Amino acid sequence: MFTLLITKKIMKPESGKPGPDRTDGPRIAGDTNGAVSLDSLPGGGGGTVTSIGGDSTPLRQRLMELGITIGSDIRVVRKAPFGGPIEIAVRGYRLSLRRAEARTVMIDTGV
Amino acid sequence: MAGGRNPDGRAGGASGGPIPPIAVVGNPNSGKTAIFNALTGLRQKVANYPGVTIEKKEGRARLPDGSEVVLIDLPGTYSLFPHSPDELIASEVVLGRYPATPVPGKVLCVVDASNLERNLYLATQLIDHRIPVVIALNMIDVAEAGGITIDIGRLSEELGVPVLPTAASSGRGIPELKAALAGGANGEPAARLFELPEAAQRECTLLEGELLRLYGFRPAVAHHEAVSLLSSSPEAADTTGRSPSAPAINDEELLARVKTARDKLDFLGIDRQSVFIEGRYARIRQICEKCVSTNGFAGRRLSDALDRVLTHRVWGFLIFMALMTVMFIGVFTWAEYPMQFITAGFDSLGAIVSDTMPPGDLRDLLVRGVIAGVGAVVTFVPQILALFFFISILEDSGYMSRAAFIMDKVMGKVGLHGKAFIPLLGSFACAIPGIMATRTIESGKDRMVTMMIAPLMSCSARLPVYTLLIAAFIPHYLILGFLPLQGLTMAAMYVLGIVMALAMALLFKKTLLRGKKLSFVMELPPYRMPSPRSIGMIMLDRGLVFLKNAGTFILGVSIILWFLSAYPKVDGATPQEQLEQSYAGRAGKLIEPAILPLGFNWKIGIGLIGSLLQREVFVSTMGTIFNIGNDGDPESGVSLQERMVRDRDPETGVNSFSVLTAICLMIWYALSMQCMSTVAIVRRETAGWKWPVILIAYMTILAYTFTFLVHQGGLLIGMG
Repeated sequence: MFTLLITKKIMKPESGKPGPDRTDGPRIAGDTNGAVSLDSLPGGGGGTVTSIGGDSTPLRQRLMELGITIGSDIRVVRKAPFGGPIEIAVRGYRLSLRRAEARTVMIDTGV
Repeated sequence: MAGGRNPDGRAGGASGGPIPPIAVVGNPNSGKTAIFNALTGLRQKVANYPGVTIEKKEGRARLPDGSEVVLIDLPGTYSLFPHSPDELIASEVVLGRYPATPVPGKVLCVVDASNLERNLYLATQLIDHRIPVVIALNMIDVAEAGGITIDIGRLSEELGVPVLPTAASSGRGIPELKAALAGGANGEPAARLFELPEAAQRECTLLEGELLRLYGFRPAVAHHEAVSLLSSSPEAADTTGRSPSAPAINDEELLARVKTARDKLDFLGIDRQSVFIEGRYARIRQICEKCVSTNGFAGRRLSDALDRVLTHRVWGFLIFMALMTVMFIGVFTWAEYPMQFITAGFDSLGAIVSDTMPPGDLRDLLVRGVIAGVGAVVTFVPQILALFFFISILEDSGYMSRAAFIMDKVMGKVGLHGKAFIPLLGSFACAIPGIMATRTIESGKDRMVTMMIAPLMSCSARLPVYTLLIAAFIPHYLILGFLPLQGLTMAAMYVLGIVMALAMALLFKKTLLRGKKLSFVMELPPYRMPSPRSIGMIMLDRGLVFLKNAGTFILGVSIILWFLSAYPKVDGATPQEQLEQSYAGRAGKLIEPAILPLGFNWKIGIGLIGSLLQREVFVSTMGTIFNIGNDGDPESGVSLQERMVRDRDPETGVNSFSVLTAICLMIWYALSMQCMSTVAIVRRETAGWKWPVILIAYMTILAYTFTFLVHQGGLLIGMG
């Protein structure tokens, strides 16, 4: 799982349309057949990040700076009751985010 | 040290003047403040809070080479590209462009060894900004206990900067860290750590050069601005990330160049936002693979077990409620004995002074002004200490973020962020640290709402008022044989504040501060044993600030009030008549028509006026007024409560206070904005008078309306 990250290439000329009007849909990064949004995973579920949506928003920036980058492994630890935030494990630590925020992160569960 | 020599003669400051300070940065929960405390001990300059927010804490450390250096403790941050106002302060100081702060000669970056990857993000950013860095690999003991082994020599080699293992809680590695901070041996890091894709690197270097040429930025700032210009989208007005003190980058030619560079990178399909982040994390992963080995996942086992209970959907809520209850009961019961002790101390001090001094104005001033006034307020130090004791345990242990986690949905119902819970809870002790704690809320609007309602939480300064009035007017009575009426009245005041705060939050969110819900991205650190040292430091800090306040501001107000209530002298008047004729009595009478509908007479009016700037002054004012107004011997041991109960208007024979008056007064104090320090802090945090004025206006209207309704309603049902 470690080597995956290092060989990861950031430049993907074929995946982005030129120009600033590029959409913020999930960019193709390997096989995304099994990709689901992070909020839809059950507690205990996990996988590899395939994309972080929301274009160039500050939220996207922060999520990436906190280690939720393409190729990183994420596991859902628990979900707060009544539709509250979810707790995830990423890069060896725990982070909480609201479900709406988790929706922007696409996960390849490997199934 | 006088002269501030720079041991190896390296040009540390601009002109060989004082040694430039060392900025201490680190991720939240990295133990940064513990390292700062271990390095500086008690030699800290704690910011004074009336009017001054605790933006940076400074301390002095003596280094092994004999030099003394100033350390600046900065707010925790995850990145040099800030997302919240406190992160902005950290990055601005580090970049050397924070107003009235010298450019740091070095940066001490505190890194959590048990959470290395994410912590190295900030550290490598500093290195890539070519800022001279020393890394404290803190909580090395926690990492070792969790089965993480770090090759420190290798890590230092990979990063190109000194890395020192530390465990701030036990003091391990602190002497070595001091040695590494001494002198100027470690200069700027030699090289950037990670390579950008060629096109991005080229544009970045070009832009840096232009910024250096056009604006004369230092290299770190030029790099910073180049990266943020390239990575932001043209339309994104990233207001939090922009420094208000940085010069506006508005050179037409440069902006055109930025646009071309962005277009070029976009055309190449480079994600300008992620390119600066993903490459860094990939490099960090490489470094960690070389330097870190783990055996198993023992690290979080205990923490996870605790979390299964503490954030459980049922148990979590129940435990949360239980903890809050314990906290309040603890604050009231624990503080009771020391409070009685302090009261007795001030009483006997007053008696000694009365016995030893000849009667006259000076004795009156000392006994009735100074001792009675300050004593009444100092009595509340134990409560403040107890409250900060609990809050610092909750914070230090990591429970606070769990509380925010389970409360986010509930807080969301009134449009508040889960993180708002922490500042609001803190406001029960004092709105000032509470308002300062709102800096952790990233969204400006959410933060503003929290700031606006925080002063409605019944702070410890209201406690003296509640305690005095409840003890005097609410009977000792057990409802159903076990629920004390006095305690319930106290609880009702807290509930009133909370309910009003939530209602106002909703109102603000619907009107002045409308905005979409913002992010709740928050770290849940592993549970830790709170360190007695840091708890002690926080309690000491709060206690001293309060005492300093009592010794200056409250002392001054007490003396002025004594003067206003003792002068002008009327010959042959009874003490009662004297008070009525005094300046204070006249002012009280002047506002009586406005406050009579609330059930307050002119004597209470004096108290209201006296406590306009600080609500706890009400107690000392009452102490002064009813001491003077007392016909008999003021030292006869009749308590203030009894004097207030007995006090009546000599003409009408109507008592100054009834139970209804006492209730109305408590409601008034629960809802009104009588705290100059809070107003000052809000003005500072919002950089203007708009919000403080709104705060004063809405709270005064709220307090007047409610007190009026309760008083009139009370009269209708025959109370009072």
